[in-house]
Amino acid sequence: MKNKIRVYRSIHKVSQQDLADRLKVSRQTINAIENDKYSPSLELALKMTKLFDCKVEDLFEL
Amino acid sequence: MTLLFPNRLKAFSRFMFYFSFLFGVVYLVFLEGDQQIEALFTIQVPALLSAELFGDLKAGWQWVEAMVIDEFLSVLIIVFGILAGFSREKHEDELIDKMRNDSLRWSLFINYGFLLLTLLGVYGMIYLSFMFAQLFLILFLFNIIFDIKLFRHYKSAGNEE
Repeated sequence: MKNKIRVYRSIHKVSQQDLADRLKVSRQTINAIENDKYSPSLELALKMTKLFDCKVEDLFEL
Repeated sequence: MTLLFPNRLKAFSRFMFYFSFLFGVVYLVFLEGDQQIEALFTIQVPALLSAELFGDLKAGWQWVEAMVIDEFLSVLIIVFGILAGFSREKHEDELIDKMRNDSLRWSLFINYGFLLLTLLGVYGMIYLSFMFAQLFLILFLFNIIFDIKLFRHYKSAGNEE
């Protein structure tokens, strides 16, 4: 599953650490998701879309 | 909610697990049969069941004389192996949980693969030694695979992109 988290992060000027803190995960986890090494759970994906104020399909694609 | 032990137990348990495991291997390879050590660790212990070699089975509460170094090491390996593998990380999240589950799955596959090889290829008295080793192999594999995964995970994001 591909994602555009890095793009949205740079639009919203949020660092990996800031995003990790807000989502209550580690920075390494954000890094793994951004590099397509790990697909987040539905709960985490929905939290991200809420933070970036976008739809799931904007952030993730198969 | 995942059932895990507190993070404060992690470091000590990990140290104690690997130390006990290493000590167990050293004991089995170099010290087993040493009469001085066996005499030192032979004590009266409470038992529910006991049977001497070629003797009758004795059931019920009783005291038996036993060399307890292997029991002592086994308890240490089991308790600290479980505590080390199932204690929270500092930043416990879903990726860590997935790594823990993956490690458990791999350790189970390898352990039972090894057990199949033992069942089909090992005969005689050495078979018992292999079966005894299998009791702890799954815990050892789980901890070592999980620790390697954690090491690679923490190392993977050294620089923020």
